[in-house]
Amino acid sequence: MCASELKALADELRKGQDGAYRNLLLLDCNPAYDLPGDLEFVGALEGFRGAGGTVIHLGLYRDETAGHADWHLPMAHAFETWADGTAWDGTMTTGQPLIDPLYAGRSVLEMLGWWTKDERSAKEQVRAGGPADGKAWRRALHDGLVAGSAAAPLQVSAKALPAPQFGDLSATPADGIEVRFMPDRHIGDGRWANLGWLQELPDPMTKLTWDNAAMMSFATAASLGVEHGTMVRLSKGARSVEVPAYLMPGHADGCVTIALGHGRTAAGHVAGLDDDEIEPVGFDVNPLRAHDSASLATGVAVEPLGKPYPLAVTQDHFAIDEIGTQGREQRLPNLVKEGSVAEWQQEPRFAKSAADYWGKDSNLWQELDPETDDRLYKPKHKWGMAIDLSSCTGCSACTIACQAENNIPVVGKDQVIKGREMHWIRMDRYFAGDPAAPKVMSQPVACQHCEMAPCEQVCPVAATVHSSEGLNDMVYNRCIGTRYCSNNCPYKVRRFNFFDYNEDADQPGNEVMKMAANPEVTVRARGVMEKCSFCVQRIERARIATRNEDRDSRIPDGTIETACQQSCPTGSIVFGDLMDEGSQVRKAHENPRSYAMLAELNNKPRNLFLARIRNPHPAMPAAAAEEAVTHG
Amino acid sequence: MADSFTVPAAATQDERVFPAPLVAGTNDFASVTETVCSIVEAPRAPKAWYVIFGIAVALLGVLGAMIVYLVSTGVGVWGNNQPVAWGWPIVNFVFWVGIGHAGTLISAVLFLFRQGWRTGINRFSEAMTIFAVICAGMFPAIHVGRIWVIWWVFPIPNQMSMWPNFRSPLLWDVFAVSTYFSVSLLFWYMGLVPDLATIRDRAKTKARRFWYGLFSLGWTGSNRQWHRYERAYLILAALATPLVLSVHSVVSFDFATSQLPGWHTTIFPPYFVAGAIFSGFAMVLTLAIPARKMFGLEDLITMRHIENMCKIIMATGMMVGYAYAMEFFMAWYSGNTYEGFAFVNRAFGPYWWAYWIMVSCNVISPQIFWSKKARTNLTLVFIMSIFVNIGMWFERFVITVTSLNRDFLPSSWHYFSPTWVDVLTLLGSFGLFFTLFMLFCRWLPQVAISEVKNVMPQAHPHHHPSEGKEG
Repeated sequence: MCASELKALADELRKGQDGAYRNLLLLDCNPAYDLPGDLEFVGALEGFRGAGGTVIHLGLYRDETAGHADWHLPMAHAFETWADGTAWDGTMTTGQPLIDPLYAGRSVLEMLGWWTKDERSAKEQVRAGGPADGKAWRRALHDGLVAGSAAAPLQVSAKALPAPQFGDLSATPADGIEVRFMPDRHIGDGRWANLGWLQELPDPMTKLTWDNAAMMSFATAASLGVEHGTMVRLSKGARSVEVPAYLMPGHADGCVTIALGHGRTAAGHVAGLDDDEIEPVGFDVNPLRAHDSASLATGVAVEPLGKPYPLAVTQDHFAIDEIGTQGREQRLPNLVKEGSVAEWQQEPRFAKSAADYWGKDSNLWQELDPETDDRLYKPKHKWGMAIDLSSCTGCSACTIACQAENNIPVVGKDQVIKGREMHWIRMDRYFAGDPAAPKVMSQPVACQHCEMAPCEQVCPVAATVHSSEGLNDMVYNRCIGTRYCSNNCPYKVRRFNFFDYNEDADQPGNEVMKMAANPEVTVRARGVMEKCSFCVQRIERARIATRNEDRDSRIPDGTIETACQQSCPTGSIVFGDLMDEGSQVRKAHENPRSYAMLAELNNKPRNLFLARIRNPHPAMPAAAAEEAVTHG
Repeated sequence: MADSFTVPAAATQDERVFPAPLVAGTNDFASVTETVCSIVEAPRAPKAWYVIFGIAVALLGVLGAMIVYLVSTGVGVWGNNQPVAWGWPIVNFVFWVGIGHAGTLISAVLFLFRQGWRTGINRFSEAMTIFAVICAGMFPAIHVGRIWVIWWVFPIPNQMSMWPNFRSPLLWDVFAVSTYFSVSLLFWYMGLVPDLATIRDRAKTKARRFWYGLFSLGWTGSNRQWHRYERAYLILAALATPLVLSVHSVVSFDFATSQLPGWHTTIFPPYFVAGAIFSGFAMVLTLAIPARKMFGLEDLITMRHIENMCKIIMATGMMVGYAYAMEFFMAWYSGNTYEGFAFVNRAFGPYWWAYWIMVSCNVISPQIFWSKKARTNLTLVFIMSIFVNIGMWFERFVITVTSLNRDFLPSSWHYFSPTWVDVLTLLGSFGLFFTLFMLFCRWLPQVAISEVKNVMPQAHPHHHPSEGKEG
């Protein structure tokens, strides 16, 4: 619905009996929360109901809108129902339920059918849209799409227009501050707010969890007298919101960016529920929005309130002292290796350090080689990973995929503030250079599965040991929790269960939480250490399948995909067997751009990074910043 | 009495030629026995004892409550986090192990070097050692995530057919600390046997006769027994001496063998041992100064003892100071970026205050002991000893926390703050220590009666005042 339609709807509802409507169906939406504040939609709904109108809400949650409806109907989740859709080219796609509805929900399709006296089930409705031929239909279900159903492309002609003139886009607005609203990078407009995984996933840039904040540049903050991590009041006319400030390197001056989707009062036990006295997570900034300019508010007054507010940030940046800043700047080029196209053309191995060539001679002792030494067990595989920084965008999908695959607990805001988040693969984000125009670097870091793992040597009970195929295995039921391994890990990828983070699953009524867990992965107890396992359960699954076929054959390349690899939209992560000469990971390791992080420690990580090649368009402002950081 | 000598007034003699006698006043064998035994035999302890004991027991209760809370809830009740996986519990462990060093040093090393002045304070400091090691041993045990399987660190045959990992310095700790504890306990107890027999012989109640009789192991004081006793004592002293060096060296390996910048340094073993002796002597002073007053032991623990300990504190304090300086030098000289950063960060980073508390307490404040006036001012010495205790706790804090909170990858850097449970657990460990120590003061001879008699002029039949310096 466009802005004017929404306005018209709200106005119509306010008329009550005199208006055009008697009943209002709200299907899978939450307008009482997420509509711009100037529509005063809640007031409109209540006015409508007060005048005898009936409001019916169909939704996954009994949310804010349900609270203002006469009827709330449980909706079936997309995984519980039949659905169809079209792809970008018009191809028909099908969606099948994975499970019977857990809470007797109905889909939008079914409800619409029911209201329009269509007696068909959702399945029958979807079936009706598909090919009539039974075999073709089964094929479509198998493939997930109806082959050949794409729309015919239109023949269009285009002619070049003169380039529009925009003036100076970087100019600071004259009248007060401009506020830009964006959907939260993880919970969107708030519809995913009650998912702990997403609340705790650090924002790729701010590294903020469990909150939204008013992001602004250092110069703007200084001119407004605002400090990082303190409350500010943003007001426009009679409407105002209070949010914490977050000083963001590289943010444009004169404006503030805030994520939507937070501050919910009827989201659930994770994101806030007034009925059960659960505080909202983050701040609702919808009241500041206007329906005719829903993503931008201009001329906003910003008033510093000075009250400190704890932000659960997983990686501090500017909140550190001069020494820390210097130390970081000094070591960054050795951690996240980057080069320009010219540098790469001149020396493709520019990312290598001397330590990358050390090899076996670097040891004080003679290393046994399983390939030649009869005393050693001869493994069939040598698992390794490679992460290409050139294609990594820092989106953090790997983190969530890993969390889902490996039953990683959500620990909550107070624990994140203490530095106890549990992610096995984290996205390190660094800013380098001038805070006003920094260079941003992202680097996914999981267990590097070092061949000479420092964690293994120090465990007093041998709870973390090396497998013959080179995995750094964590034996949960042997771990007594000395945490020495974590101290000795230079990558700090180990995670400790400081509390019993899974106790909720044992509470009556929470059986569904257990269903979220991957049955192939142990749910860890309190007091044990955990970390990336290279998705060992997937390796074993592939091994069993391969052995069933032929006992002596090796697992073919590409059979095993780790969860992070599978979810990476740019294919940055490859995993496989380094003994297989044709494997992708072997090729990646042999790529001249490959390097081991902290190679000089001689831990011999099995994960190599491929250095990032930067090639910004010379006309872009980023190119200048790039130049300044690289050669400045 | 007939065999009493008049001891020359010390003030008239040059101390460098005739050191002050080790037993002051006009004491003879009988009066020494009387002084020490009367404490044990008194129907009521001094009022101060009840006050201190009461506070100590209350703190012990706090410790118990904290441990119950910890075990029932999880290690998260402390401030530990990522990357500071070791926080106060390990700091406290190293602190208490350090305290536990002076005892064996005084009883074994000084014995082998024939330092007669040890006799006045050795019982005392050995007891302190044992109680400190008990406090120390508690911390690694409770700091693990799953205390109910802590026995896996011992090489006990088990149904899992699993040995512990002998490559782990934590395992070396288990052996080092338990060996040290057993030998110290044995040494202490053996030294107690003749004195326990003395109390048994003087006992006026059945219960006393029974209990002191039981623990004096039928000691009669025959020549043969004394002969065996002296031999065994010498052997145990020789066995215990290497332990003085080994325990804290092994504790330092926990850090030194790690890769972490700020931990990975070869200077740690000697530096830790010096620091341990330093803190151990400081704790002996902290305990001895009030105790000698409370129990009237001024004649047995004399100013000369206190002065000697002040000198050792000054000497070891300078060794520790040298180590601090050398760490910085090596960090710079090695050219290792991470190492260099770790040390600059220690002194000027977010924990600068902890570093400078450490330096002021451990290096600067003991310098006052160059002055004899300072060494003989009991109030000042007592305050200084407290300073050293504080400084040495901070040294362990600085090593553990400042190294961990900023290691290799800046993305993982995180500030560590303790919780109230951390604070109360540390206080509670003092409760445990003082409860045991106060019980010791009340029920066992605080000074080794038979050994003190050895260094009295009366023990030397051909006594001449000039021979007093042997003592």
